[in-house]
Amino acid sequence: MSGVPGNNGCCEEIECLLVLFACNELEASERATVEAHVGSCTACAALLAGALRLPQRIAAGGQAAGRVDPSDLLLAQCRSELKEALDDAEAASARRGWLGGFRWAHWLLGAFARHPAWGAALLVLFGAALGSVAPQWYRAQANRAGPRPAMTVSVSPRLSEHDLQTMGIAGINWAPNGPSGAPSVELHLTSEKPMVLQGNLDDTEVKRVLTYVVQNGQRFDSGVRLDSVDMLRMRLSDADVRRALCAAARKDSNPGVRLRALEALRGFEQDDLVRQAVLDALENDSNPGVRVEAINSLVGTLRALEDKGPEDPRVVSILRERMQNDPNNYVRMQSAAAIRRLGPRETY
Amino acid sequence: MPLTGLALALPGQQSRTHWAQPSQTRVRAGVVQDDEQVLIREAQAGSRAAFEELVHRYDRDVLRLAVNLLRRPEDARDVYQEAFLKIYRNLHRFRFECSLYTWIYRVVTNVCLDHLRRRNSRPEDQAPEVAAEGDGLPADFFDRQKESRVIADPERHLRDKEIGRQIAAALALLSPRERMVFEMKHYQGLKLRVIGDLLGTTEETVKNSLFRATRKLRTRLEGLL
Repeated sequence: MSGVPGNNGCCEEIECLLVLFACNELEASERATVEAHVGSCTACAALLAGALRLPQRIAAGGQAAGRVDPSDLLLAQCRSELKEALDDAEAASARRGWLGGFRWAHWLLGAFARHPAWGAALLVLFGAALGSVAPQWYRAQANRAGPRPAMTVSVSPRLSEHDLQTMGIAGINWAPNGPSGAPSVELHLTSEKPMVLQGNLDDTEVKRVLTYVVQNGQRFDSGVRLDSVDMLRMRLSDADVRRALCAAARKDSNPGVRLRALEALRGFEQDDLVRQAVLDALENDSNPGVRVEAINSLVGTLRALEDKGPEDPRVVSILRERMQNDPNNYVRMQSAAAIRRLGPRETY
Repeated sequence: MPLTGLALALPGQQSRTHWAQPSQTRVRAGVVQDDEQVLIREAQAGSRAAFEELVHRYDRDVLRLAVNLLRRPEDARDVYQEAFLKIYRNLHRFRFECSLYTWIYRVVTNVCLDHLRRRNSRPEDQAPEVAAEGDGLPADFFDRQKESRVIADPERHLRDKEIGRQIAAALALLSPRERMVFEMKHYQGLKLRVIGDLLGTTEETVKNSLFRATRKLRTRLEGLL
């Protein structure tokens, strides 16, 4: 359309220029070309005349604005309506100012109301995501803040039964020579209120914690139980300690702990409770090492007590039973040896 | 009639009205522009009075463009309100990269084109267009007074009515963009380059639209020319 034909350019190309000529959009050279062509072409001259008349004709007969609103009443009406609309917009803007924070919630509720199935699915997904992410986030925050500061107490606060039932043991440290000359113990408790319990084995709270650990072996790991047994064997003169060790020798799930408890109790078989625990171990323990330890314990004790009166007939009876029926050959041999060692008083 | 609203000075364009006194126009345009910048900044800062002053500067042309394009007072009112509300809500985005006139006309032409396209897609929902004078669609009291004088010459009245009907039918053949370009070129007096700028297209595309619109109208209204 922008191509300018020569003086004798074809009418089709000139037709494009006639439209631009009529609305004064041609360069001087293009205008000259059009004028030259129109001077020699009657058809294009007629087209140009039509193009020039067209806007005037439409304006005269068809343009609506002047006819519809000759006295600007429509304009006044529009201005009035715009004013009201602006008032509404300002009021809405003011409302949004203090309700702005809830606009997303309003939109969300509207969207859920329109698509209830999608809304329910989104809520379930959101809940699942929150459930999986929130605990990790909480743990990460807790780790970032570092371990919760442990409260160090010097044995004075009394631990309640509830504290004992809910506590965990992170570690047991002990030093052979504490400030008072006695071995000092440091117990790191992990409970609702993490604390470090410091003291020696004569302290009631330390003893309570250690005896609780060996009596309730299922709640603590075997390392802690072994450490506790090792601590407590230094206070075997205490009947509570012996009772706790007897319980460990009978019930602890770990044979190493049962064995260590029996070792700890060696020398105290004159105590009926201890002797009963050793006999029970010999008779019932599933671990042959524990049973051998029970035999050794009994033999040593009976030798030490041979001058003090008749031995317990149950000892020989159980030893004989083990000698005959124990599934383990070494236990049977040890039982036989024990009976032989007790021979002078034995009547077959 | 089409030239009465051309008192606005576009950047890079002078309307035919301004050609008479170019130097005075430039001085006045500069003053108006400074004054307008102040008004725009006040409006952007939230001054309702400043915004209304700006509206009153341009709304007559906006309304005339809308009426001429849509040929229905109700639609023109809708366009007027929708366009100026958009301008009100988005005035804070105006960065003085073009004149306010250009910016406003961009909004208005877009709203008009949307209306025309909606109308073309749902013709059954639309009220009839304003056709010839005295065809039973009086606009206001003064209009009716004028009509009564026309009706004094029934033959002329009938002829005008028929011409108006033919013109309305011819304009209905144009696409929204062709109608917009024809209106802006012939009745708003804008240069093709400016029209292209307002419509977000090239001058060449505008030329094509104008050529197609002219050819359609000329073919349809051949008997009247």
